[in-house]
Amino acid sequence: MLTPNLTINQASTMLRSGEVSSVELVQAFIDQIDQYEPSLHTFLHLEKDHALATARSADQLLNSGIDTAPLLGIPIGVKDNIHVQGMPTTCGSKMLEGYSPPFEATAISQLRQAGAIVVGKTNMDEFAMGSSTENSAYGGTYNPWNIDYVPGGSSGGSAAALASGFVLGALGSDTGGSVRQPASLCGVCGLKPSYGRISRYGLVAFGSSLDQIGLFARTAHDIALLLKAAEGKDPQDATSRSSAPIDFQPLSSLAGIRIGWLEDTLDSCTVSVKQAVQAALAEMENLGAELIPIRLECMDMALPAYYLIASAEASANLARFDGLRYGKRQADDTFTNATIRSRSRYLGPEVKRRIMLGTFALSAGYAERYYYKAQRLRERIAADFEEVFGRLDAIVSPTSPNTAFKVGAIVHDPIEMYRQDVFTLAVNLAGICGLSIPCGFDSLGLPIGVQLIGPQGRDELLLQVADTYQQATVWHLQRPDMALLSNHRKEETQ
Amino acid sequence: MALTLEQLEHIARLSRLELDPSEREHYRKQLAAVLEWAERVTGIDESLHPEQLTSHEGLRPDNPKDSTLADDLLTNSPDTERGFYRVPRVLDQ
Repeated sequence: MLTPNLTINQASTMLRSGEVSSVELVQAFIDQIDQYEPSLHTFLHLEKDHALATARSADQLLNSGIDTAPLLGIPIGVKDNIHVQGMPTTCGSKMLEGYSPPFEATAISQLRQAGAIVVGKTNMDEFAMGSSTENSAYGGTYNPWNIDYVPGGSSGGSAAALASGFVLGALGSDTGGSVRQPASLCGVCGLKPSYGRISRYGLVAFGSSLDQIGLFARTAHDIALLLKAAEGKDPQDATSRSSAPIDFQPLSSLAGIRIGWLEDTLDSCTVSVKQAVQAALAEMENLGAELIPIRLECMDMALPAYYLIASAEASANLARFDGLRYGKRQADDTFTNATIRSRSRYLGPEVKRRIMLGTFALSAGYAERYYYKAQRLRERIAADFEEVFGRLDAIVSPTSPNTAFKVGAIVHDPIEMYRQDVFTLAVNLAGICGLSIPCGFDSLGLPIGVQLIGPQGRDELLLQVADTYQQATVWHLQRPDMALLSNHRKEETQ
Repeated sequence: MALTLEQLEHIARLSRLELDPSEREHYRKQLAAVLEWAERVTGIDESLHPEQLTSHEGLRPDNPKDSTLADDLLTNSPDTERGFYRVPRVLDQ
């Protein structure tokens, strides 16, 4: 039966047993989109007819018994900064309105090869800069648990679409927490794989040394299925790494797993987040894990270091948006003036802020004081993690210090918005892997996430630990009551 | 650190951005606040000699091959002519 709790794993079984056809499955998701998407705005572009046509081909393969594609017939959503051939890429920016990518991201090609069906492109903060999806130039996304609240960001469209039952899995990008934080705020699982695990070819660059394509699904097991299809060394991305393909085997318990938990992170959380994360830790201990309280001294310096490095890289990467080769151009007498006018007109305020911050941090006389110091801090943070992973298998912290906040509440306060990523961005600085999974709800019924952090290349172990936790708990099975959406009378916020 | 309007204008020019006069003070305040907070990184102990950050596994062989993307790439540009990008004059008078 098609339930809102359906997982990729279950859907695959149903497709193979003939209990449901791929067309029926995709149509059920399209029906859900038609009914609730207008209240939530999770997509920037939908390809329903194409999805149904692809589903018909999938059914032919399923009926013929030539069934070698592990994700055959599975509908997914893709963040709008990852190129999908035949669909526009806007990055949530007016600068790229009408842009049609001439090539496809390697991760997408691999997922399609594995049978996945891309339903559409999901909403995001402009150029992935933000933690609430309110910075989208096409209007924000709302949280399906309560549409007065943000879904997190920057991959808020992907997280909200999955939580709303519009897709079975989704892709996002995570430069400082942009997959894990919205996963936490929307009550789904989100993995930031180890740097280099999934090719970045076809992902529009923000901070190249930090960017990683990430995955959303309802369960850790489903994420393993997506990762298996999307990962791998890619000649088109020199930073992609060759590693053994993921081989997901469930654990019978967490016996022998040494988990360090970041004590002081709990002090800066809301009470409900603190209690939920403590309960998750207790459950892991109950399942056999050994818990060790730890402190990482550089953690509180990670936030400013991150914003200097990410903005510096963004200022260089976004220099390509000159109005010459892509998107839109404002006319002027010289090339430089046309570039200035085009960028000023079509880039949003947060993007301008970060470009200027990055330009400043790299400018003559200030680079030594800001950018190079931040890089040294980054090395120290990476070394700190390496040292603790010599004696630990995983580290646990909250994903976000709070649950979802109200639309409009902090959008004009950059520093408060940056603080939303305080527990996630050190993972990107160190190039290691992080996973957010649901672990409870606050008194308003908004989801809470707990973050598992692992060393470079140990994504598999994180997913196994999370799967063991999910076998014993029900948090990941909770879904928002979509019937309540129509009762909400959303205020005009745009 | 204190950030003056002149410094802000300089950064904006380097960034190929032009700020509306009504936005300048707003951006100056926000960037000054972010920089004050970023100042924390400047206290780091320099005695630690970091390793070089390297994350690639070496370069792929440089094998030339045909690319057929040129026309698709050009269709994304606002102004082209006979297979070239057309732009306003590049050099000042």
